[in-house]
Amino acid sequence: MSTKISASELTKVAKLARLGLTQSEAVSLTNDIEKIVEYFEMIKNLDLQKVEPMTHAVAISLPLRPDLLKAVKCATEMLPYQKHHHFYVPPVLE
Amino acid sequence: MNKSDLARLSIAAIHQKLKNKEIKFFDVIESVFQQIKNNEKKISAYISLFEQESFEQAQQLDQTVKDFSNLHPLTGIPFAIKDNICVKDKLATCGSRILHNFNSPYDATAVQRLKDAGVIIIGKTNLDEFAMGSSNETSYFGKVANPLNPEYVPGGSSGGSAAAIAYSGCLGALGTDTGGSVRLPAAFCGVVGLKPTYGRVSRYGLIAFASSLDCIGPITKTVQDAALILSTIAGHDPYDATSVNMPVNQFLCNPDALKDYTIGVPQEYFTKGLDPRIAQIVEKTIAELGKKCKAVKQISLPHTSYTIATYQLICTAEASSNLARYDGVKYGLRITKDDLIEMYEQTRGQGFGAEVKRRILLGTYGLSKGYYDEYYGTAQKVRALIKQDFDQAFKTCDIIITPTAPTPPFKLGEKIADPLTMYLSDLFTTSASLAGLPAISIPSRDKINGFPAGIQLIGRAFAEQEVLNCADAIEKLYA
Repeated sequence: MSTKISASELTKVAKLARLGLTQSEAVSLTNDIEKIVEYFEMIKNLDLQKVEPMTHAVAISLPLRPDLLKAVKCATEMLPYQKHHHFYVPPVLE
Repeated sequence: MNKSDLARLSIAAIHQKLKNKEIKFFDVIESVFQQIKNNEKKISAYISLFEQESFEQAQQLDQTVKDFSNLHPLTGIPFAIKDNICVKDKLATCGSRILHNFNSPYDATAVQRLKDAGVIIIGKTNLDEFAMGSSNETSYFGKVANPLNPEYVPGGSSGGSAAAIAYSGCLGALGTDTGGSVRLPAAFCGVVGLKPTYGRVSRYGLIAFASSLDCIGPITKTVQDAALILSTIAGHDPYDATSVNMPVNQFLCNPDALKDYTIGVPQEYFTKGLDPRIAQIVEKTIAELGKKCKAVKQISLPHTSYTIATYQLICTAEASSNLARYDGVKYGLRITKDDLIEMYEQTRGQGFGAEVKRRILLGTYGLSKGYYDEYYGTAQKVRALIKQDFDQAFKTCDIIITPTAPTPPFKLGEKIADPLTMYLSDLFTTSASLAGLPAISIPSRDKINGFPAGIQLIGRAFAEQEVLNCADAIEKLYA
């Protein structure tokens, strides 16, 4: 496939990432990303048919820790948006 | 020695003086803060400083410590912590506007272990925003300059920690290394930086960038100091599921062990792209090592040229996922808007800087429908090949030696407009990160325009002891 990334494609990706971009940012980021993705293309030159993907550096099983209550400082005290010791979030439902 | 010069000593030397009751804890803190006053304005290594608390802690230690024979080697040592690592009740900004007001409600495990040892945390250090960068020019709180020459970058992303060590603005520092962020600034600032094996040090309380790569590591003046810090912060932690449950010995430095090691020299690291002056310094070091080690061998790491592409694809994918949590809802910056989606977009658009946005977009692109297998899936397979290269190499050698960086430090502003060229600064450090291996950077004796070159040593997984032994031997060769 072509690595040409259009401004509209970048805008779509920015929407997916919930990233507000100014017009000039969108232009300069499109140029950068096109160049970088073109560089990434080199990994497609390798024969990888028999290679298993590596997801982690150290092959270990994920252990569970005991499900015990632990006293911690009330997180809401440390947070900027709070009312009556609760998170104060903007309305998400109409 | 003048007391104002104490900050220039190593941790081990200060510990000895404290043990001998030649100096007080207060003297050490006073000397370090004098260096900070002399240098901080032009270097900007710190985002926050805890001066009054630090003096109070030192005074308290002077009053309460009676038994100096069993003093922990880190008790009373002034420490700097990179600002993407949580220290309870202190700001943890990640060098970003989006977390400019975030106070951590708890200590990272590595920080807790340092506190248990009695260190004095004197401040939080500047970094590339969310640890994404190689020059420490992307922080919302300003650029960091290189103490060896303030017109040059200190390297990134742990540039604040490396610069603080270099100008003696602390005695020990924690940095974080995802693709070279401890080793590269250590190389540029002429200090020691150690990236442990992935899983050796808990990531609990390290604000995530790329979770399959992130490591906390010490930055110090000497190899012995790095060993002391690693001994204190390493070990299993039930709060990090990727922390490995294996015993941790006290890491010591035994330079004589070098005689039993075969040193591998990967041919792919000494080709075009490497500054010939750095090549000359590393080759000279290898020649000197060759007289003391078991053997020096040419080895091959055939997939070296694919490491930057592989690393960037994986780290940006993980970053785009990890940084999704910064949405203005729970903490950090919130740009209030009537529409919820607009609130997310404006908060993230105004809260993140250019490099973070670039990486989130690259990661989102690489993970998006139609491109996932082509980019992220392929990168995971190439990562396996890069690890296999090391598995093969370590069948014939014990330690791999390379330059840490392909070039000497560059000037502030020189590469910031060209992200791809900036990414190539990590050419020699990302492979050990992708393979999860321990690696250290130590400064060379010879200099290029006043800057030492970084010598990188890479070891087998969990063979930090061998890496430290070899690094200590080189440090002694240079002495």
